Amino acid sequence: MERDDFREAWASLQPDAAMQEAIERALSRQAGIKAAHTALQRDRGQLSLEVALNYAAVIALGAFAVHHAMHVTYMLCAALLGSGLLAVNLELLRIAMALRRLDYGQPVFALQSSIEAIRTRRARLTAIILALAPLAWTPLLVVAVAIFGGDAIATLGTAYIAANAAFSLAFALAAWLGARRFGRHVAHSGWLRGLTDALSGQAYREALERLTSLERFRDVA
Amino acid sequence: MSSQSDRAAFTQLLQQHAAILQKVARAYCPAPDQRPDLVQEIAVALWRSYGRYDPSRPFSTWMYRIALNVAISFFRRESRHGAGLVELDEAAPLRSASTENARVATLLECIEELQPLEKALMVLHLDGYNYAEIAEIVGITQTNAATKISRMRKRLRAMMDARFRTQGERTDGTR
Repeated sequence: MERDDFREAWASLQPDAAMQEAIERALSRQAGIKAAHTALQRDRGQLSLEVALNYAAVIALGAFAVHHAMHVTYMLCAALLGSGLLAVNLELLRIAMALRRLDYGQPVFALQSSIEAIRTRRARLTAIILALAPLAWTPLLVVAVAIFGGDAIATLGTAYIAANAAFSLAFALAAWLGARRFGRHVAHSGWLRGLTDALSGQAYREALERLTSLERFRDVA
Repeated sequence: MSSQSDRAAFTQLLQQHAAILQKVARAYCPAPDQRPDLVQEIAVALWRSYGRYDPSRPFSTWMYRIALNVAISFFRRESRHGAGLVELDEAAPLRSASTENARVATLLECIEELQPLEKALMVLHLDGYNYAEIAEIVGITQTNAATKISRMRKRLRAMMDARFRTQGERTDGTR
C-alpha cells in the first residue's frame, strides 16, 4: 500500500452515527457542556477535596494538642499524626499546582509528559502513604481514646500500647512484602490489584516506565 | 465565554470540523460503545478551552491538539481500568459488520497497535498535515516527526501485508 493509499483509506472512513449523535447532543446542550467537567477538572476537584479534608484533620489535631498541652504523650501523638498529614498535604498541594498548570491546548508531547510526571508523583505518594499508614494506628488509638475522655496508656497499659506499636510495624512490613511477593498472584484485577500494585510500588514503577518511554519519544534516534 | 455569538461561532466551527472528532475517536477508542463518551469529553474540553483559542490560527490545528490530548488521557484511563480495550479478534466482527471495506478496517487495526503518541503522529499524517504542522501540534521537532512517520509507515505496511497474507490464506483454505 503506497502513501496515497493510506490516506485514501483513511479519508474513506465512514461517519459513525452514534458519534455524530454525541456531537449533536453536545451542540444542542451547550448549557450542559458548560456545566460538565473534563476528567482533568474532576481530578482537580478530587484532589482539592483530599487537601481540604487533610487540613481539617490537621486543624482538629492542632485543637486537640492545644487542649491537652500539659500531656506530653497526647501532644506527641497529635504532633506525629499532624506532621504526617502536613507532609502528605504539602506533596498533594504540589501535585494540585502542577494539575492546575495543565492545559489541553498545550502541544501533545508536553501535556502528556506533564500528566505522566504528575501520575508518577501521585503513585509514589500513594505507595508511601499505604506503606506507612499502619504505623499511624497506635498514636491514633491514643488520640481517639483521649477524645472520648479516656487515657489509653492508663487504661490499656504501656505494654498493650507497645505491643500495638510493634504489631503495626510488623503489619506494615508484612503487607509491603506480601504485596511485592504475592500481589500479582492473588489479585488479577479490580481494586485489590490496584491496592497491591500501589503498596508494592509496582504502580510507581509502571508510571516511571511510562514517563521514561515518553522521554524516549522525544529522541529522534 | 458565555455570549450568544461565541456559542454560535463555536457551534459552527465544531460542526465544520466534526470529522476530526470522529477520526480521533476511531483511532483511540476501539470499543464502539465508548466512542460517544470520548467525543462528548472532547467537546467539553474544546468548549472549556475555547476562550483561549486564537482566531488568527487555524481552528483545526487547535482542535486536533485538544482532541488528541483528551483522547490519549481517555485511552490511558480506560486502559488502566481494563475497559475500552477490545481484543483485535473481538473488534474485527464489529468492523466487518460496518460498511467499511477491508482495507480501512485493516488500517484501523494496524493503527490500534501503535503507541498513543505514535497514533497522534499517524492520524495527523493521514489527515494530510505536513511535518511542520504535525511537529507544532505534537510538540516535537520536524525532523523527529518526519523520521518517526517514515518508520511507522514501513511498520504499518509490513503489518498490513502480513494481515492481507493471513486473510488470503484463510480465504484459500476455505475454498
